[in-house]
Amino acid sequence: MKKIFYLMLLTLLISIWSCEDSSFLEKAPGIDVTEDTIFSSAAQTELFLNTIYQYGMHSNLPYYNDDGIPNIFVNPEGHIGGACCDEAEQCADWYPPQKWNTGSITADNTEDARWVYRWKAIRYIAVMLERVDEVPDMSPDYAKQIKAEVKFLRALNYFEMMKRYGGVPVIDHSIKLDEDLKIPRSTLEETYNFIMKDLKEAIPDLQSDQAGALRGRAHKGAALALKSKTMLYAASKMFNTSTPFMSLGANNNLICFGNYKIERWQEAAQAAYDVLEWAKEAGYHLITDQGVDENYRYSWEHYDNAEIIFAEKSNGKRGRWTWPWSSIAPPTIAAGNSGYSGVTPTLNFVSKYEDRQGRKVDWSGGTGLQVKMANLDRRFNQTVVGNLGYWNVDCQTVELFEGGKHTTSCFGGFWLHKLYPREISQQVWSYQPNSTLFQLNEIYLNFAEAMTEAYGPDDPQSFGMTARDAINIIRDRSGQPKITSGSGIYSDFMELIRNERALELAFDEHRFWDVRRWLIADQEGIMQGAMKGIKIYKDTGNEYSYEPYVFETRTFMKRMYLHPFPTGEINKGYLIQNPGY
Amino acid sequence: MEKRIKYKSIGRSLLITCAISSIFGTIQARTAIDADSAKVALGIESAGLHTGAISTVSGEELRKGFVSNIANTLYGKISGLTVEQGSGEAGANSPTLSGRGLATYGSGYGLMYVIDGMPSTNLFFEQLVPEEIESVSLLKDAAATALYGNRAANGVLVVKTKRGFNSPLKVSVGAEYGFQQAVRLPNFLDSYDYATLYNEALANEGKSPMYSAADLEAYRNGSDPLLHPNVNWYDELLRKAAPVANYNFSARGGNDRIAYYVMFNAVTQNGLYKRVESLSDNSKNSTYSRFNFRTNIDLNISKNLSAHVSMGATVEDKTNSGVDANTYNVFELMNTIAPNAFPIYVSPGMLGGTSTFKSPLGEIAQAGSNTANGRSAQAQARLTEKLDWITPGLSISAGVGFNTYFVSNSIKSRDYERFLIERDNAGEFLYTKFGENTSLTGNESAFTLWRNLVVQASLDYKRTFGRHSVEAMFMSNYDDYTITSGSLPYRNAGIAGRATYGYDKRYIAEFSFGYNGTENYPRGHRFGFFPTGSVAWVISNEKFLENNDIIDYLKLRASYGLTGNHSIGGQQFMFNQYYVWKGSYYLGSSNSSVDRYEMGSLANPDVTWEKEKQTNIGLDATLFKGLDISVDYYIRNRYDILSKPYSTVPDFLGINLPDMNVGKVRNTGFETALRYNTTSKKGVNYFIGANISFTRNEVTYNAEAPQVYDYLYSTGHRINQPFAFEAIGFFKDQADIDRSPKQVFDEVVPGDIKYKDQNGDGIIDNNDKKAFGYTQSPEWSFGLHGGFNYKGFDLDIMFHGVANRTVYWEGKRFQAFQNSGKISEVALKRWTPETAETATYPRLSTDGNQNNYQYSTFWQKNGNFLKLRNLEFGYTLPERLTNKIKLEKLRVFANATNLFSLDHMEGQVDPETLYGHPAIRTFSLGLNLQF
Repeated sequence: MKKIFYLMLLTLLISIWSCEDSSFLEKAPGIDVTEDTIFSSAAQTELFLNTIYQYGMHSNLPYYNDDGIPNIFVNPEGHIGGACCDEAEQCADWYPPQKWNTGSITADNTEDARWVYRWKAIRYIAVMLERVDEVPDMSPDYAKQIKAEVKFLRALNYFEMMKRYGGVPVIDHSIKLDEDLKIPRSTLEETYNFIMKDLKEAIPDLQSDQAGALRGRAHKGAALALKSKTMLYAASKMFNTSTPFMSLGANNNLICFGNYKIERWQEAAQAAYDVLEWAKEAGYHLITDQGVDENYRYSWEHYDNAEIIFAEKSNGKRGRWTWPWSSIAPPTIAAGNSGYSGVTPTLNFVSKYEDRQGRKVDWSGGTGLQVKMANLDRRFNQTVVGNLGYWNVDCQTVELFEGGKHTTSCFGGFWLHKLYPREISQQVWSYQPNSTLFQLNEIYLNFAEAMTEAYGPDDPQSFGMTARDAINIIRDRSGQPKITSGSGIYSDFMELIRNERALELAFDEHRFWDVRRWLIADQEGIMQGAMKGIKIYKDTGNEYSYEPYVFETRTFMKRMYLHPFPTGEINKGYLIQNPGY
Repeated sequence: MEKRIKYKSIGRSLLITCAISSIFGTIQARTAIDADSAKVALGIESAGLHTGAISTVSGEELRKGFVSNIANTLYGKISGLTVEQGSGEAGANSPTLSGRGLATYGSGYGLMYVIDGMPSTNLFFEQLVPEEIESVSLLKDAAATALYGNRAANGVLVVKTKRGFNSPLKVSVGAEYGFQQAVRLPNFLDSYDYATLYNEALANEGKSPMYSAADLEAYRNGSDPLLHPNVNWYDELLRKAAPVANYNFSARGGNDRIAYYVMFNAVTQNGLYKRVESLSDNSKNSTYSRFNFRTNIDLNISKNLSAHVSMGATVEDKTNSGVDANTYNVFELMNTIAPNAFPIYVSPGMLGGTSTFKSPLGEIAQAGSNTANGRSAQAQARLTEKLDWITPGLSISAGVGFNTYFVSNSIKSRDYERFLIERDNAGEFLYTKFGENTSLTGNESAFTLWRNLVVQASLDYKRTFGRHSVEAMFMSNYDDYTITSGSLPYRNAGIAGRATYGYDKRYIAEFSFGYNGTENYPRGHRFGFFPTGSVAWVISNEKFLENNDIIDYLKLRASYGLTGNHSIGGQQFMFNQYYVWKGSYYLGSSNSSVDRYEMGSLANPDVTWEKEKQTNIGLDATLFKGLDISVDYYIRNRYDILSKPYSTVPDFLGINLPDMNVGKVRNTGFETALRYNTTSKKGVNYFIGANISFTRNEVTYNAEAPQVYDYLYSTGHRINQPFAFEAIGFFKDQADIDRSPKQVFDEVVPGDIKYKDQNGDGIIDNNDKKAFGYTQSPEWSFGLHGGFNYKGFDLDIMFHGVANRTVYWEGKRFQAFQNSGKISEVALKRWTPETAETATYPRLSTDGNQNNYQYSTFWQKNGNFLKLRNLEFGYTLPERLTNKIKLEKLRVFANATNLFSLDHMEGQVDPETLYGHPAIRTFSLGLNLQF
């Protein structure tokens, strides 16, 4: 009996002694989710994919990093790029665009709040690519499709970085802590090739289109459109050159290709054409059936219309008092906004509109403002609200003359209406935004620009369409006369295309980038120098006169062609800063 | 799943082992109860052989004064133990305990607790009462703590409860009554001063006054208490004195077969609030009570086999008037509402209030009540068998312990009406109502359960061969700790051992180790080996010190060892790559919401415990036949502290980094304890004891991000070192402002605080903050304990002091008019153009002044203090009298707790309790009978 006792106590000692090999200290089953849980079923994997979309998709709309927004990652900067260039002015002082307008973008004062989110997305994508094949109940085809989708998202994020920074570190796997973490910037060409490789691999495995519950997930058209845009940017003067806009010495290849190749334009033309071909098959088309006075508006205002190739869907309906609406609606019209801003287009921008006969418009001042505006390119009315224009059912006449109800802080003499559907009102106070990333009209203009650079305005190559044809398609649907050889407000065809691009793609997050990839931002009146508006005076009867004036003088530093990396990152010792910062 | 079953089966076999052993153990006669077995499990060997640094206080010394939380009896009592007072609110008054100061900036700086030989927590320690305590010891150096391996580095507090002994029954009955009162309530100014100074503050801002001369006059003469009220909410809500009481009963005794100790203790306290039940049926009086029960039994089952059973239980009930669990919000409200904001009642039965502020009286009397009912059980059983038949001196022991604490909350809440009073143009009163009188709604669903299971076994060997003494022990321990609604169980398993060799009672060498693991680390990384070596030399046993009149005893000790701290903070199971559920994402043509999971912080597969290499040199001596001295000097080098390695890792990693084991802290210090005891022939006995502890830590590495200026680094400073602007006076005039560096926080005007431009760049911004002052945790702690008795009278006095401590005066109590707050006495010496030379407070402003209320040296105060913690005076009736009434002893006593504090707080606040419920002082009278 006694011995049994000792033996058992000894057993006790030994059993505890050997516990390292036993399961004493094994974690008990919990309700927590680990990476293994995620990749144990298709349903869980999908929940992780949603996160990749959430971090991977940005928005061109002015969302703001604020608690009230379900997805703070889309555009945490709270403003549109239009307010950082000659398109417009954001009316409230505190908005970040002012930094671009005063030349005070520095490495300590950067303007890329998505920097961290992008790297997160890129990591999550790498994890998905590494592990999605393990998911037991997922079909190989669907796994392939997911891989293609996340590669598209990776390409999208690398493009967003390329256009800001030039070459950035290429991260193609989920980095472990014990790896060498001093990964330097890749060259611009390596970065570009990485984007192209992802797209090339993704395109064949993507669905031609996504509908129903999967609308908002990547499809072939989105990838083709991204390819077109990336190639257009790569072919532009900013990158397609042997000498960058500012020298980085031996590291010039971080910010340009190091040579000029006309093939880059040719490939860009082909890429744009590929999107147009896809659109035909998939049923996407320019909106042409609403009449010349409404086609253009319909294409940005009507939710998810046939012209929108791909849109970010990460927010549901948004109340009229909050972002993105509050950043656009003038406070004098929609009081009580969180943003209290409004966006006022400049005269620099408005004067780009031709009249309906295709002639340049004189804006040197005088009487007859209402008559002048009534004869502007029909897209003017569908983009901008001028004096006595219509905002919505609650505000049917916008007064922008001196002493008018809505003149306060309207420096330009115009309010921006594009991006803000007219339906939003006190009755319809919550509205689903079109957070468009790619729209078909852009592709025509990409095609026109690339074709002109590669082959000139009137060479159709094998596409059956010339650069001139492409911009005339765009002009035609809004009732502007076609440009024939010798017509148009500029003698240089490239100038015509740039002007057309400025008007057609206004406030869609293009011009702020276009003027820099063309290296024209430092020209007077673009991102440098006088920003003009008009002061409007009520004359007798229903007539108004106006007077141009300079409401702001902006400073563009040459370094601002590219963005600075944040100081904190530079201090970590792996990045070469962009020139001038 | 398989793993889980395995775990269960092992757990069961442990329990079965113990059950069987008690059933089948042969019952034989035995002569003495082996007290050593408990000692060894505690990790303390025979006194003569010890080589570690240990300080002990007896339970008797903890019984002086009226204290409802046992941790609050430890001020200044144990050298090396820093005790920082918390709130004075009964049931929420835990102090912060740390051993030898701080050696980590991680979240787990707390002591390890061992109660009756089994690992426990401070929660269970604080359930005990001084009555049932035999002793409390702090194990300080590696030699003392080594057995606890990966939990030992912060020090171990070892608590022993009382047990029976071989003696006839002794019964003790005691009762104690008294009252508690708040110490140093805030000195807020009354309505007249408030309004006058508010006008002054407005004038300073170039604004017109808010109060007219007529208003001020009304405040001054109190002629219009409804529209010009002057309310001191502390007077209205608090009692001057709240009754407290304590009762205890204990019985102790035994024979050669059984020894027992049983105890019952009850403590009841009324809160500082008025008795609200007399005002309303909607609330309850603020009370606290705890009943403690204990039964400790030692049983000699046979000649070689003995059993030890300990059972402690408590019933703890706390009721707070008002809906919150504690008084914090109401004290905060009282600290905020201006004295002239509204009257208590705008009309009989109609409470005052505004849209912003509720009525403090309504909050405690009308808004409901909150009761927490806690019950705890601490139970353990241990069997010990002598194995002399194998070899003399060998024994084996096994035990299980189970602790549980369950608290359920009963919350009753309601809204109530309060009224804003105004006078309309016609001179009639207008009442605006806020809130509605609703009926009470109940919430009985909140509860928390703590559970703690311990299984231990040990082999002990102790023998002396001629001049050689040998002691050895080997133990195994398994314990887990679960908190419902918290995380998964915390588990520990491991073995430990010690071998001691003594030669001729002069030379002692010891080796001890812990080999322990916890659940928190990945397989293969769970266990650590923590060895310690120590030596001691008892010089007084050497021949050359024989027949010496001065030195009665002298021992030198030295130890060096590695210990760990597995309480590293951060996410449990950090080695797993977690994914976290996040809000929804939208997809689809109808834009519907879908769930998503996001990757959590990057897994840290290398996560491990903190480690510490500690060197200790000490001496113990007895001189002049009555003076005991103990001195220790130590160097603690803590490393592998979990830290955020922000500085070096690029963003493109694309994930939040895990905390990594990279931080380092060095902590050095010394402790001295002296005690002199004497018994004179004339019947005057007195003792005096003092202890002094000094500890200083320095963060030697914490992976902080690169800083622009060297003085901005927290590395090289103390843990929690404050960084403050250096206040260099007030701006004299505009010219002074113009020629001074620009302060960016706010537009400054004369009378604002001027800061030093540390980097000389002409701008005062966050780059001008520099390390100033000490932390709130003191470097020096002193205890001074004395007493005497003479002819039945006895006196016991305990002082506690700290030095090298800094506190910060902020918030509504000190910073005037902040967040529509009040203004207190300290602001009277404000800067005005007339008082510019003598001002000790910046000019007044009505809004939260962004310049003056920056964290600066201006608001840092010397936090040193000397407190009289206890004073007890007693009288014991002469035995000849007590014997007549069949009593062994009858003693009456009076005592005071926290009687006074000498400090630098200008009488405004207790130096330790600066916020919330005030510190308290207690007076009581008591009677103790023994028979």
